[in-house]
Amino acid sequence: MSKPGFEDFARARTPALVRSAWLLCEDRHLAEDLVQDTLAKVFVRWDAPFRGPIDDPVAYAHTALTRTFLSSRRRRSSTERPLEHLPERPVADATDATDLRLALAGALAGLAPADRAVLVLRYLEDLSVDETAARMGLSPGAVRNRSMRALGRVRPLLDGSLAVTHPRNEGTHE
Amino acid sequence: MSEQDTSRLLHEATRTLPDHDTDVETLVRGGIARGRARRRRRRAGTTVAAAAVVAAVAVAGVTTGATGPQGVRDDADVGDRPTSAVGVEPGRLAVPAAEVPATFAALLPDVEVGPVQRGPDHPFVDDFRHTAVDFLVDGDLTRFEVEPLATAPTCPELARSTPGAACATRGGIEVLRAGPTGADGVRTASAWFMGYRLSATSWGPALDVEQLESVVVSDRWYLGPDDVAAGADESGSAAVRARWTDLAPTDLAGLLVDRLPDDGSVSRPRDYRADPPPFADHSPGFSMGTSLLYRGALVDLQVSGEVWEELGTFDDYAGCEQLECEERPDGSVVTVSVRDDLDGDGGLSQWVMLTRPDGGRVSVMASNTPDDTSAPVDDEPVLTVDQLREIVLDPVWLSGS
Repeated sequence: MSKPGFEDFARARTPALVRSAWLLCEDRHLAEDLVQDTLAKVFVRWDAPFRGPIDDPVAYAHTALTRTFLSSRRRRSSTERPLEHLPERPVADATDATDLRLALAGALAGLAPADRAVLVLRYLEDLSVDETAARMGLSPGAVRNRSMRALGRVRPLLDGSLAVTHPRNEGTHE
Repeated sequence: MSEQDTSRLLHEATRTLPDHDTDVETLVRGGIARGRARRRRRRAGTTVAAAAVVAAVAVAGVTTGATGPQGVRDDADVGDRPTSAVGVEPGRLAVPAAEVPATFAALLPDVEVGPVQRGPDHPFVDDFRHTAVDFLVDGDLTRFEVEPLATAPTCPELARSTPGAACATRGGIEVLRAGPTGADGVRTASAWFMGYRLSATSWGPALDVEQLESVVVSDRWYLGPDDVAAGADESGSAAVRARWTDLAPTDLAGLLVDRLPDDGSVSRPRDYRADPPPFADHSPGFSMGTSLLYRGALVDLQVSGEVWEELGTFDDYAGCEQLECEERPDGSVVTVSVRDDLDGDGGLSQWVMLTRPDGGRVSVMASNTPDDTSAPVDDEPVLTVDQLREIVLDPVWLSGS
């Protein structure tokens, strides 16, 4: 028996999950691995015996994605450390989509996983501070602090991209 | 850079990810395959274990009508449970999961009832307080579930999340009816009755909602007072146990305690003595288990046996399709899970499972939390993989070891 509704839901949401996962992982293959792990968790929960339907499957899936990412990074934390200072890698003049993605990946690369997740949830998925906090299992204050810290670290690397892609916005920085 | 600028950059960078590079079908299939593997692992070592569920409920203090070790009813945490759930002594379930189809046939003589469906898409849970089983009725998939009120959603809670559902009280029993909905015409009925929620769902027109409701409000699912007095709910069939193990379910906890490192406290879930040890007789297979708290965190032991040929390949049965297995000289294999933070909340569990060529199986799971909802008591599960391995390899659990 196919699980009623799950496959349709998964097909519809997978592209958006991949986009979020790519920003979190900076790597397409890791992102697809993360998405499959996320779908697996939603699959198990979809019609789990003794539990009612998922109230909001979209939010559930994205929460699972975020927490799976953070959890996997905690497991790898013995070998991965966020960098004290972001690398002074040259940011491409973002004249096309690939350069922009590379610039963004470079900017996100040195952030701690949780800081990266805050940026993705707040500014890609457009969640409020409270919603981000709930999805990550953090306090709203912690989300604000991480958000400010992360923005402060990526700003120097992304300003160039912003200037190239949206030259009229120069001068509107915080 | 303003927040708006940041948001626009992130949207722009991901919008330009070429969608045609995303093989959605492959990812969905992969997700489902991993989900099935995850569910098998849960069944094998962790969450389907009724003992763990009972332990979690007990520790969380959400006991509904159960009598505690001191014989004092504790309804303090019932919360917004419906009136019918409060103060009701749970009945003793009379029908093993394998006999649910026959009971449907007896209750609904005009329909043709098919066999139990087994496999990765079909839950099969069978103990004294939980049932979940899939089978066919006039060719349509039908699922019957029973869960204690302590862990069940209330009727209003379930109605809020079920399209087209409505609660009502009929004959003093709170019932929910929903459907048909969706392309398959799914329809379901639940009853909050004698300390349990009973639910029957049909994926198709074989049974209408009235028929489903007539099933879930039947008292045929419970033992009568005379049966209880006569000990008809004695834990497990001696014959099936004798095929696999020399132990009774009541032996497990003490033997497990004896095999734990003696540097940590051991305690039992609060209502442990009020519940019969979980034992499921699905001849020729069986399963039984026990749970306890070691150093404040859940440790769960399951001993079981199945005719694995009915379930797929031996590798699949032993979990080797998904996890690393170590084959032993006698043909048995040891499967080891990784630490698994299933819910991303810091709660970790890991387990080791021994699977014998005859289908006998022993698994031990250790966590770092007392239940699914409490905060971790430690950074790591309270038993290491080596300690878990030593326990499962002990020959005491299965006969012929």
